[in-house]
Amino acid sequence: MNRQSPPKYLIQFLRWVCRKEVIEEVEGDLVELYILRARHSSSIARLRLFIDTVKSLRWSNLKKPKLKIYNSIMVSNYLKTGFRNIIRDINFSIINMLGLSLGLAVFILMIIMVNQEYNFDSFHTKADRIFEVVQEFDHAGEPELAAHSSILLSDALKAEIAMVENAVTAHGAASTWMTAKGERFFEEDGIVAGPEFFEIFDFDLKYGDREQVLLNSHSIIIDEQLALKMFAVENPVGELIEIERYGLFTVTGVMEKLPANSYMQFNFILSQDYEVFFEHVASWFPRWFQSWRGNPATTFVLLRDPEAAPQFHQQIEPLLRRNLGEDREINKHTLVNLLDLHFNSGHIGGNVNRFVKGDTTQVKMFVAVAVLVLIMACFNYINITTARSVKRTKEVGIRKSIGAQRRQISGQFLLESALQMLFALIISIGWIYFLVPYFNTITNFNISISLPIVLEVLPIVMLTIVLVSIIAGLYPAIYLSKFSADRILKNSMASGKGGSTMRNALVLTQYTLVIIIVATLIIVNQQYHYLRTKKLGFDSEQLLIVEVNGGGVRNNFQTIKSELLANPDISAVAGFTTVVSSYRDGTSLLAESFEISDTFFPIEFYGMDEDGLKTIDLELLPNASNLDKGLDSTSVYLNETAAALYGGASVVGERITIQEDEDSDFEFKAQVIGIVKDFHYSSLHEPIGPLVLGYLANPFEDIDDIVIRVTGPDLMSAVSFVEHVHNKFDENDVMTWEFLDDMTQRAYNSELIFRDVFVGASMVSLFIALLGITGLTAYNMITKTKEMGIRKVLGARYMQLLKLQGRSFLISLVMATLVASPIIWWLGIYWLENFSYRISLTLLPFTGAFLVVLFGTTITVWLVNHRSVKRNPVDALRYQ
Amino acid sequence: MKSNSLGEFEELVLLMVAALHDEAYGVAILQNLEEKVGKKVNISAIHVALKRLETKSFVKSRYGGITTSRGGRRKKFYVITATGKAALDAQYSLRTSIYQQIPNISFGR
Repeated sequence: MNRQSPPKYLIQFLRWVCRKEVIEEVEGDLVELYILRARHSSSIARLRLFIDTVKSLRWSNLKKPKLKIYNSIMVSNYLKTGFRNIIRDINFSIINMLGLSLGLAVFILMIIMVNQEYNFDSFHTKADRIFEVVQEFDHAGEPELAAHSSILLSDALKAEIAMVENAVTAHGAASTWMTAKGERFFEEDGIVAGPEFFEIFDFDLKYGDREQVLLNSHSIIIDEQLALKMFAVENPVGELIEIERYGLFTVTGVMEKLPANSYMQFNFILSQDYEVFFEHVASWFPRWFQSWRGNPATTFVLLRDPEAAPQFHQQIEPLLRRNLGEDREINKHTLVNLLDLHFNSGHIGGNVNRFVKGDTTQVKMFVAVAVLVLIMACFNYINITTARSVKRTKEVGIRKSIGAQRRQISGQFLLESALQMLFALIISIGWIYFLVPYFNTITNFNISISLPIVLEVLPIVMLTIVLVSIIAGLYPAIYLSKFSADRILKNSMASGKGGSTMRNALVLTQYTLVIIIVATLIIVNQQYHYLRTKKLGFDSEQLLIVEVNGGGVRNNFQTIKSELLANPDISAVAGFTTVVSSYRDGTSLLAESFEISDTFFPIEFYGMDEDGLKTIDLELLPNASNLDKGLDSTSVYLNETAAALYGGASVVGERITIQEDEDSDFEFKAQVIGIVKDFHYSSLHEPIGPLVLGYLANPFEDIDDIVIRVTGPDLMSAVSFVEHVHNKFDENDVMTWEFLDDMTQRAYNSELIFRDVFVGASMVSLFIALLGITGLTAYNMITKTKEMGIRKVLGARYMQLLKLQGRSFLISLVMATLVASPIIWWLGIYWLENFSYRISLTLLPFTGAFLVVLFGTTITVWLVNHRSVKRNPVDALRYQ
Repeated sequence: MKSNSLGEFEELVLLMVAALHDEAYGVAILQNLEEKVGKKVNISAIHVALKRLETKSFVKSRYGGITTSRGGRRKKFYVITATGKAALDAQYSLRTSIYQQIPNISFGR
């Protein structure tokens, strides 16, 4: 008889999971059945054996974990020893918990931030069906997306397009003076919205009827903060606000303050009262504004079915065709879901007051930093706990010899790590309160901490705590429970040497991370410094920029200019269409090439008056053709890059053709009267492109900025003088002004954030790493007290003893620098590729990071060891 | 306290243990039951039933000698106890007494 044996792995699995009491019967019966069945077919027998095995996995058959660890008396004993240990080595405990709590705090902050960033606009119950209408405009052949559409679109959509359930028009309201109860306030954060606004969006109203608030003309809804500011009462519904130029508006509702995770930000809403808005405006503007040709507003639609969004353009094309007429080009209209706007609208222009646009790279970067910091904190815990384990070996030995099992011992240490983690969590709350303001100033995440948010992230925080206690506690638990009882009890001091490889590896990793972070900080800072201080090719110091907001200033510019120049502290004044600054763009135009007619290259245009060059101190190349002509409406300057496209210096004196777009009928012909040296008119992310400087009176743009060179030492008094002159001609607007170098810096805001985040990350990670080193050195010091004493008796000097203590750290540090270098190199190159003008990588980040960490380590080792090395060796030898 | 009632499957297994007297172990019970009932029974179901019967002390068990046909595992033999027999008797008399109360009806067509 051919006796077949059943598959071994199944039987072994059974033996592994089943209790000893039942395995005899179950395994025996299963094997016997298998053999019986295998006589017919071994494959069926195997299948049946498999089924039987699975079915035998009944609760009553399974091995149970030894439940002794949950014995309440033992647990209370573990807690008691845990507490005693924390208190007995209070210094180590403080080091441990400082690191852990800081790591946790940064991590929790990160969770709150990620939670907020990924929940933008999710408080709107219909968010998945709300879409923003985006129009694709054509710019010199390039598609340009903008959240702009006609204000007539929303009503037409509601009436004619079946897939649209509801639609609303919204756009920014002019910044304006408001008078409430006799007091004047300048408010800038308003929007104008159709009556459907509160049907579509779920912004909460504290007072007022959602369906009524925007129904009547001359209605205004203000948020709770504005209500308190203007009326000093919670509920000013029914009160009147006089808006400059527009007249009296009735407060019909009070909104709650908009949540930080709202894409749209504003603090008041006006009803659509175009007749009063446009009372004093040139008549072509309101006609354009309120027509199908104009695109001044943003339309939001509520779809019946979000799946239908891709068909939107197709559906509305006939409607657009009918309203725009036959001869006009129809731009493509697409829909972007409200929930996607926060992260995916960076390329979409236009806004309703202010949109909060997120940056996934920044989010990811911060997540990475937070995770690294938490990991480093865990390493500290592991290091310090295993190092200190020497003190616990006796306890482990005794526990084991009275019958504790390894599982119980590791359970005990896991419980201890959870206990410390809980303490750390409590401390981390303090850290968070300390860190949030700093965090909000350096990043634009603007997180707020409130009860609902805390409740929302609490489960994740708890999960993190559990995970971290396991990650941080597992290795010490396994390591400590490994000691065999007889060995420990025989040589009273079992060495903690077994863990030293692990500790060295962890210190190495920590050092590597710190060096990477610090070196990156140095690179970012070098580049940022370079961006700030690079010579731009013109003098941007002490240049005051005043924006032209009203007709009063625009029309009386020459008068204002002469009044300003009367002040001795003002050396030059010029009007610009847009001031040359890395933060703002000029006017993009097309220039026709000389050789082939009707081919164009893009060119950036800035207009300025005859004092423009002098005011911003641009350098002209020596004039080859001896043309001595000032700037007027028929002449322009080119920069070197543009001149090169026209064949170099010979272009001076020639006439060039500039126009707005290729199909435009209007051509601007102007004589080139000089070449300015290339200068950085845009941010250093971009290379210098072709540029044309024209006259202030030009066919493309009107005056928008007044540029004033201030020479006096007292800049602020000059500013208030300018303000005084400005307000004589424009009493409706508050003067908006800024110094050019400040404005230039704003182009590098994201680099600034990047740098500041790294400053924070470097400090935190260095702090945690040094905490770890403090712990380890202190431990070394204790274990080597006797050795130190003996060395001292034999004549070792102070420095030699210190060196001895620091040597292993130095080795780790050198190795870490070697490991980190290629990573830093790669990261640096990768990041610097964002810039057209950038620093080249030098040795400084590498050596700098090394020296910073070396310095920190040395100081730490010195501080910790100073006393023991100085101590009388007799005390040391008496020790133990 | 667990009730000492008998489920249907438990009753069948207990009857089979009694019938196979001294030769009742998992596989034997399985084979005989399948033969009698005429449908597939899973071995683990029998194990569970036997375990329950044992905790209710309707059966007691002993181990047999090592046999090669079982991969070196011993057979676990079950024998019905007096309590088990009494439970079967009670079940049987209960059924008969109710059965006898059925009036004489015929289901003729």
